[in-house]
Amino acid sequence: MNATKFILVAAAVLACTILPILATIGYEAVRTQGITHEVLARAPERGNYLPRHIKAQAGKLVRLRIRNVDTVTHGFTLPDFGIDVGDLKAGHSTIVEFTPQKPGTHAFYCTVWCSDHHLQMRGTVEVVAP
Amino acid sequence: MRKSSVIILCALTVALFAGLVYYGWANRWGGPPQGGVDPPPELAMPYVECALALGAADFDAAPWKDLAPFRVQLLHQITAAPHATGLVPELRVRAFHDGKDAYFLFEWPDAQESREHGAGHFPDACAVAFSLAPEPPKHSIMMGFESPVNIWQWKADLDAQVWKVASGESAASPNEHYTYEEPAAFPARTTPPSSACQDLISPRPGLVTPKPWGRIAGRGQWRDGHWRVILKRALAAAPAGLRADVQLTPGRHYTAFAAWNGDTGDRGARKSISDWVILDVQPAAPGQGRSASTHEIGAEGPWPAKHAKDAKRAGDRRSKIEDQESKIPPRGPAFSLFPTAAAGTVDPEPPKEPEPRVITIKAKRFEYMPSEITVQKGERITLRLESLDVTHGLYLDGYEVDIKANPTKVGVATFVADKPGRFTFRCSETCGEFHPYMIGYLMVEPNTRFRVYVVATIGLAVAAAVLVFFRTRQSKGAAPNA
Amino acid sequence: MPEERNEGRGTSGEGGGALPIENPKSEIRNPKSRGEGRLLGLIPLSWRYDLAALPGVRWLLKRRWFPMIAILVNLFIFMGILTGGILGGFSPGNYSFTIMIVWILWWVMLMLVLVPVFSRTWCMVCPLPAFGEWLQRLKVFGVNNQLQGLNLKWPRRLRNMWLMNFLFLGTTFFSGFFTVKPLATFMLLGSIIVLGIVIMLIFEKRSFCLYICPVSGFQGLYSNMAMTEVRVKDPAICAKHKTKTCETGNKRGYGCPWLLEPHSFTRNTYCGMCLECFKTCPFDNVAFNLRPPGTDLLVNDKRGLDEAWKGFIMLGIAIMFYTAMMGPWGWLKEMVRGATLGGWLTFVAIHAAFNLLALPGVFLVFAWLAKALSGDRNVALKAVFVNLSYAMVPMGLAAWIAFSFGFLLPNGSYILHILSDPFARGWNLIGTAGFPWTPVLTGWLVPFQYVSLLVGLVFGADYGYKLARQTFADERAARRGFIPLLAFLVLVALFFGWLYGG
Repeated sequence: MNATKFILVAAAVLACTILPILATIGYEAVRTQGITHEVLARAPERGNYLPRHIKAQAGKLVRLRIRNVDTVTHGFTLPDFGIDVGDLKAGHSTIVEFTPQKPGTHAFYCTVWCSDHHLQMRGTVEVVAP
Repeated sequence: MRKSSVIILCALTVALFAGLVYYGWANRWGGPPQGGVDPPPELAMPYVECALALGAADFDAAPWKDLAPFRVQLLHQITAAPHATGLVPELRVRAFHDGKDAYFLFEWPDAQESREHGAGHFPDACAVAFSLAPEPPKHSIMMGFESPVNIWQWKADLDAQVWKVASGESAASPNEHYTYEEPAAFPARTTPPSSACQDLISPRPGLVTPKPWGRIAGRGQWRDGHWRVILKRALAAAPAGLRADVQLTPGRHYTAFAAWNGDTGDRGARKSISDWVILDVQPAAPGQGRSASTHEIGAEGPWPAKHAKDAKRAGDRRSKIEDQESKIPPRGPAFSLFPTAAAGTVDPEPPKEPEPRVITIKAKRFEYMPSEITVQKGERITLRLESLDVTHGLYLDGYEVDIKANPTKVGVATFVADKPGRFTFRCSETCGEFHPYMIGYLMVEPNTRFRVYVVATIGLAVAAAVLVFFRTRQSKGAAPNA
Repeated sequence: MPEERNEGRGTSGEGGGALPIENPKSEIRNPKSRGEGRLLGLIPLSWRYDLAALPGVRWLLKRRWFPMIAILVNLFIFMGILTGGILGGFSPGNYSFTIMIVWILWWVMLMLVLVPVFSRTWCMVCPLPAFGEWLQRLKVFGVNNQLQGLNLKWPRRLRNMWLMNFLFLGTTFFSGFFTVKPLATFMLLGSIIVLGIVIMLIFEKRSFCLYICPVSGFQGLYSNMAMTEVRVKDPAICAKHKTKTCETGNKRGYGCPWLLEPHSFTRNTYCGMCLECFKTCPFDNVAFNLRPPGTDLLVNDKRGLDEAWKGFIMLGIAIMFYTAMMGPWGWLKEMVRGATLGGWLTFVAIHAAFNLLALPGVFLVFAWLAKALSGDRNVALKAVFVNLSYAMVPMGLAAWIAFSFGFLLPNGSYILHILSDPFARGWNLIGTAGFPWTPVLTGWLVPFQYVSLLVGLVFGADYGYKLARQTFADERAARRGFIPLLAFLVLVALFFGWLYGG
């Protein structure tokens, strides 16, 4: 089998095996370039928000993606910054932005009935001085 | 290919797969799945030999100085949007008992002392709720559907009347139960309240009933931007068998706290609430008996039958009022309080002819209860969907019905069952792993389609038998085809 | 123009006498003789139309790159499925590319179109054995008849469907997991791929596909009902061909990887439609026929208890799955999804007992009745049981088609979402990520299911009688022996009708 054919066949095989995986990783990386933090929403018995404590810097934009990897609807609200995403359905994600100005600790929590331990579904954003 | 190459290739393949499975399993919830549930904190109620009569000086009594404050984190409620009205972030609680009575001291910051109802502002208040279930509640307080709670609530306006605190307004304030949305008109009381506290029982979220007798005494003091409130009640309330009063026997009691910041609009369900806290009532020192408290306020006695019936009738009336937009008051946590007694209920709509048959379906992961419903063709049906755990939906095949419900919101839809047959209703809101299989059946009798199918099946079978017996008989004797 | 094909022995016919049921391979038939009988009294059972006679079709089937190009496309999709499985973990299945493509799109396509119409065409384009086959051949498109691996022969005792029966049944024990959890589907498909690689490095050719793959078992039996087949055009040409390159291979292609003798095989059951025989036959004597559905049910070639049991297992699984997943009984769902280990084991026990013992047991009673009523003393009960069980194939396929409608119509709309957002990361590749859950025509679901069941009953009765004609000594015995079979079919049809809509 000559070289051209070999290269073509190898390309075809790679395109159908490795390429989809690389493309997925690559596309996701490109899409999340601007994201500064990602929070996974899960019911407390399945691990709660991950991470539960986010660190941010005063004056720097926070572009936060909340991704619901759980099988129930969750919510996310960060009242000190006026953020409330409403219903975040299972398997969906959303992006919120805010720029903290002063150091401090701010609580975020879930606003949708999601589990027996729903009231424990909360975390904090800790803003440190630049 | 040699055997060794085969073995190596197989081993590599299996190892790669095992590695991928391990990675997938470790990240099955996107990351580590542990450590998200915290056990309830414990608040101790020790025995201290000290009786307080709720005088003005009792706020600085010795036991309060000796006890370390227990910090209860309060959270936004999620029953009613907007959630984040003025949060009272923390309540500092001290508790002790003297063998006869239980005492609580609450402290929390509040820039504005609110003692009256007005346009947009309401009295400050605080409360403690005790689970009356014999075993520890399995769920957080939000899910305490099956466990009644006994609530001791102190209100600043009652306090003002009882303790004659001059804050500028008239003494005649209504003794209303907390409203939910709009300040309704209340009958003005003619007699001043006998206690600054209400003793309430909530059998389940959405229903709160005050008891006609008040056993709880309380007093509040606002100073320098802080409230301090003392609550007092006998440890053992008589009669003991009534099950509407918490008996603070030595041991662990599931407790929760709430605070209302009236000038930010807190009232009713709008408040700051806590998760379960375990109140550890420590035994009295030996030699100290416990007797019924002599500090009874108001009439005492068994639950009046008439009052109970009124409460039930009011509750029944509510279930007929709900309409499709679910304007009904949501079922919220134990502290969510709606008027159930005669005062303040909304008049029912005039009944339509014919009254739809109301079928209540409870939904939990992953079944409906009841899951099989039979109705007659032509009946007008109102389906009420109640959720016991998370958001569920109900989509009915063949009809224009798609309703959602969560523990605070009941979904309602009315339709006419004009198509006969068996129709599946299925969950329309992802509620967990088995959501696609959450199914119930609505049978609209008569099930004509099935009867037609049975006739068709048997008819085809008879036709087949006839064909087999008679057509083949006809061709018998014909020569086989070449 | 359509050419008549030799059907081989075992077709039904009018006229007296039992039909011969010896192995048809012992005789090459006269190419001019026609198969007897008509399906539903209308379509001659011997009717064939060679699709390869259409312009371009035979050319395509002879390309070395076909069907490998389709396998590569499917492999691309599979990589997406596997990636989605690992990334998806336990996230909800309805928003997962993995679950939706495998259990809604692929499974429904298999049941509704691929198997009933196109026989084992899925096997033609299946990517699961691709890696194993490439390792055997050390080539992707080209031909290298020196196959790598140990090339052991598959054990004689296992050259039937028994292993697949148990594997398929065993797989269904876990359906409460892999139909809802992406990682579980990844584990299932990955296991099949890995097992495929291992088996293909040890045993010869497509032994894995023939005797292990769970999908293969169900396709094997139900492809008898299909409307297409690969067969030789003219057996006389093959009779004169000494080297039988379709079996040995040549530089144009591989010897049949499915271990068949393409020049004379008579049933779809073990033919994976890999199209190698199109490439190796120097006379272009292979045809890709369109045919009336179900003609293979009448071919007596490797009929046996293994296939009878496969038929019962498919029927029984339809009943158990529908009852558990699509029924209103929450306690059963708790058992299937393994809420408690004891509950799950109970489900496993009931499921296995029902499929392996209860359903065949009931049929045994009817088979005995058929033999008793027929008056034929010389026929063996086993022959009656085995032969008549093939009437379950159209009935079972119809039940599965009806079942498939039951989840396609309500949940098919999720597919639009996952095409845009396959891994639940907020993508929107083709703009349909926001497409809401939209049940389609679900008010008509039950009538669709009833129609499907009735069609299954009709075909089951037609083939049932023809099978009875093959089994019993004469027409009179067949007529009487047919009645209990008909009764069983009616009971099955009524039961499914009640299950689906009563």
